[in-house]
Amino acid sequence: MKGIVFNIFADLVTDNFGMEVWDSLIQETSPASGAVYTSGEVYPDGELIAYVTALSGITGAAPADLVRTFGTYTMHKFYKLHPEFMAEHTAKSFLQSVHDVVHVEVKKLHPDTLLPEFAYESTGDKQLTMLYCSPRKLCHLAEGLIVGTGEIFDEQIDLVHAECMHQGAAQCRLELDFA
Amino acid sequence: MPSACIRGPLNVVWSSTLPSAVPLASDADRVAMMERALARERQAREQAEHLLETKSRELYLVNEDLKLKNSQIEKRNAEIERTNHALMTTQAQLVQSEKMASVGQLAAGVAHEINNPIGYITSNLGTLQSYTSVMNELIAGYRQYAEGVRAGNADESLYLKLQEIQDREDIDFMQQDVVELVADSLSGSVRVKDIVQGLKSFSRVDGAECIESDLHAGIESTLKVLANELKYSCEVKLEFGKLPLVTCNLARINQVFMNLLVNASQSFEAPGIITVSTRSDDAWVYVTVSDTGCGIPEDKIGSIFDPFFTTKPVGSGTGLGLSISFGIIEEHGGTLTVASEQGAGSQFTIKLPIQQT
Repeated sequence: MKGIVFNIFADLVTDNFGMEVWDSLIQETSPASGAVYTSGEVYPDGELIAYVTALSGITGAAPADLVRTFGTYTMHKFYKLHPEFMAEHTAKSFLQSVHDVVHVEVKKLHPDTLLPEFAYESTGDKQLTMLYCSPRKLCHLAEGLIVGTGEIFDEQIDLVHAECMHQGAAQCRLELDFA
Repeated sequence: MPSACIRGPLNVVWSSTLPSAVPLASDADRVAMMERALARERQAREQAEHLLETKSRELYLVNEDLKLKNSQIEKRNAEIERTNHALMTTQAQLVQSEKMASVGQLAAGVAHEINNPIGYITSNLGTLQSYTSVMNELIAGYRQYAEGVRAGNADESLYLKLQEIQDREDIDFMQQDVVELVADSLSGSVRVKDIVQGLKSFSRVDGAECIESDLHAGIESTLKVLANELKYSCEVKLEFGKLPLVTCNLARINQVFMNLLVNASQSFEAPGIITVSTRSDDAWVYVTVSDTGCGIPEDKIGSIFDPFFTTKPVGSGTGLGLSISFGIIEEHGGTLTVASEQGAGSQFTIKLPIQQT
């Protein structure tokens, strides 16, 4: 996983719980990287999972909720860094552009990045089904990103996670309804 | 702020509120924590700088590689351009040599065609010259005899001498023969004149002018030029339909006729028949040259319009005739097609638009 993901996670933790919590996560998990992250470098996925588990222990929140929160926070960060990707879009059309536009741009900067696969089914004007597939099974992060998208575009998005890789499905089925 | 409602197998309800921060032990702990954070930041910065240096180096190397490749591409482009230029020059030379081959063919045919009438015209003039001297002698003798008759003393011995000359030289035959000799010489001269006229239509091969032309006249003058070449190998049948005047460069079209006719004449193992037929519809004219020759093998028919393709022995055909013909017809917006059956003969069809657009 790219260093930028860890840096955003560190920002999330310090913004919400203070530097003390971030420091105690590092103390508790003793990551091989020493928690020294640079955006462009790649670090083990396990370090992030360990942080989430430890944070769940400290805060009492379920790991899935924490990952989802992280997704929402990340989307706001992304918007701050690259508002151009959202210009002239609705929440739906932006989400549809993730696979063919946003991920393509990410690949240009970081060719060695492992990105999830997204497929789309548009069943109506206000409906969109996103099929998520990744060996990391970070579908809750995807949920959070969708929630963040709704917040940025100021649109209500109802999300039904109809099938999930964590429950043995080959891919996660995220059915979105744009009110 | 709108919120998303998440439902599904995990059955969790979204909430952005998290439990409050963990309390801290002491100021000393706080300072130690800050120092750790600072150390991490410093290391992260060093890593980032290192990464930047690595990427810059990579970029530099990629750039150098690109420059090298670029110069190689430029070099290769220049080479291609040179080769292309050389090819174009060679092609122009070959087209010229094909033209010269046509001219050579034409010259040989024309030399024979002109030589023949000139031969008998010359011989006729020689005979006429000797007839003239006999006739002049007779006219002078008869004048002298007539003057004697007018003066009242006719010279009978002169008369007998003149009679003797008349008998000896067969003056009756001579009088008849003069008429024939003059008629033959005249028709020979007309033939020479026609051939020269026909040649004129070949002489402007390079002119790009398209004018309304009579294709039948073109075919006939081409046949006249080729008469010598064709007369021993085949019989030529003309089946002319009604043709309008066609806007074309007749000199170039004649070159095509000549090519097709020469090819047809060379297709015979035994004397055969070449049929030239013409017809037209609203927008097109069709000229078909068919022969009863050996035909084209199936595996070769696809190549006959390719430059340098020839079945003739080395040195006897340039292999450009049909490809140039094809080009000429294409330039006119028409098509040149072939149908052939091995052992039965070939049929080339020229389709030309009546008007050039």
